Amino acid sequence: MRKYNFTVILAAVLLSSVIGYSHENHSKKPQKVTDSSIIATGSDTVNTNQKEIEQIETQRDFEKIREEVKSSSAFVVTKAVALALAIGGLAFVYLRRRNKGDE
Amino acid sequence: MNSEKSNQKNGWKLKDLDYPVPKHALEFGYCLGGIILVGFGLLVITGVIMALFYTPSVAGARISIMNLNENSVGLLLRSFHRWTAEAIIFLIILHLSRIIFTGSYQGKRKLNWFFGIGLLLITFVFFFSGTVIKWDQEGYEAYQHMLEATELMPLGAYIASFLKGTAAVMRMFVTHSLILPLLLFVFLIPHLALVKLNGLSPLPNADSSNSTTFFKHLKKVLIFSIPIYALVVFLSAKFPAVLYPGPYSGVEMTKPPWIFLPLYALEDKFGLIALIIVPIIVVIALILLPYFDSKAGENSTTHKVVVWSFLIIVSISVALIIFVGITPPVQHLNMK
Repeated sequence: MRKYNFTVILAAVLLSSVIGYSHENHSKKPQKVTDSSIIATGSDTVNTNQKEIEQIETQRDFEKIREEVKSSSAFVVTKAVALALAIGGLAFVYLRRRNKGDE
Repeated sequence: MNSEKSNQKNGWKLKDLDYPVPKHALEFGYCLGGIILVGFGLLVITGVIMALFYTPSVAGARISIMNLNENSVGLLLRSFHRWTAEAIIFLIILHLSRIIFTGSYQGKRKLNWFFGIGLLLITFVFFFSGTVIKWDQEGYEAYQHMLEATELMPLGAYIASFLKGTAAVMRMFVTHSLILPLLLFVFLIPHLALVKLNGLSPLPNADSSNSTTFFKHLKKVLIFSIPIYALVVFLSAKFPAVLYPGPYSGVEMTKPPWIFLPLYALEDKFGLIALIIVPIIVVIALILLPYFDSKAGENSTTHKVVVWSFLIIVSISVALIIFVGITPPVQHLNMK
């Protein structure tokens, strides 16, 4: 009798556990699987780490952009000066000729 | 009659291009148009090759360029494309300057001046769209500026809503590689035809008799082109084209290419509306120029006013380019 009761209770627990089971993503909308979404699935620790990695990557990219922008200054100045000199040269050649005719 | 028949029978010959032109056709200032045309040819060749490796999508554009950069030939090709575009912008401004100094927009050349303005605008849009399709931080910020400036125009919100979205890169790529080349062709053919029809513009106070030939002019164009584009190859190898990380929304960290920096400075001062108003004023001024200074071949006071005004505008623009070039970038947009 005791053995029978134990079996019934065990069977009831097992059945109810199947009925009561719900997957953690059950209510989520479908989303494309990407590198980051694969890493992000699972524990909160992994999610937090992923966010930290993304933040570090962003900061590193921002630093790279700042460096590139800073190093482009010399080029910008050179191009502007070269353009001014070239236009000045053309002005010297063609305006001088034009004015010579007036003399 | 017989000679006409014989011409029809033989068809068009290369020798027909060997018509007489004035001696000053051999000068650098009068070869600039040809040198620019050589540059456009080089851009078409390098652009078509790069298009074979480019993915025109928000997700794929920058990655495909990164893949191209990993190959040393690919990187050189992209850098050459970028530096040639810069050289063309530089040479077009010189071409415009020479035309203003010699008053070559006057008289019967007025129509060709208008086609030239069209070509100038097309070239600038080419340069801009080329910057956007990299879809790095610089490209994305340029695109955001375009969207927000478009929204300020009449029907701008409608146009901007069409330009937005995931197909943005595709649309810019089609503009850069299909629409603009077609427009360039449409404007270039009459531009060249009118040079042939009206003859080369005269050099003030010089002998305008046709003492050389068009073939010699073409030869001179090639002679000038070789060192110029050799320098472009050197610059491409020494200083490869930049590909910024990103893009990141919500930040404005880069500055536009150097030729747009005067506009950037004016945007600092007057806001986004400057990006619309200033180009419109410049285009209207260029269109009205042949009407304001219309006396062909005369060194009039009006022409002197035009030349000095142009030189003052150039000086201010160069000063603004240098100023913005050495100062850190400024946040202009909401960067939605």
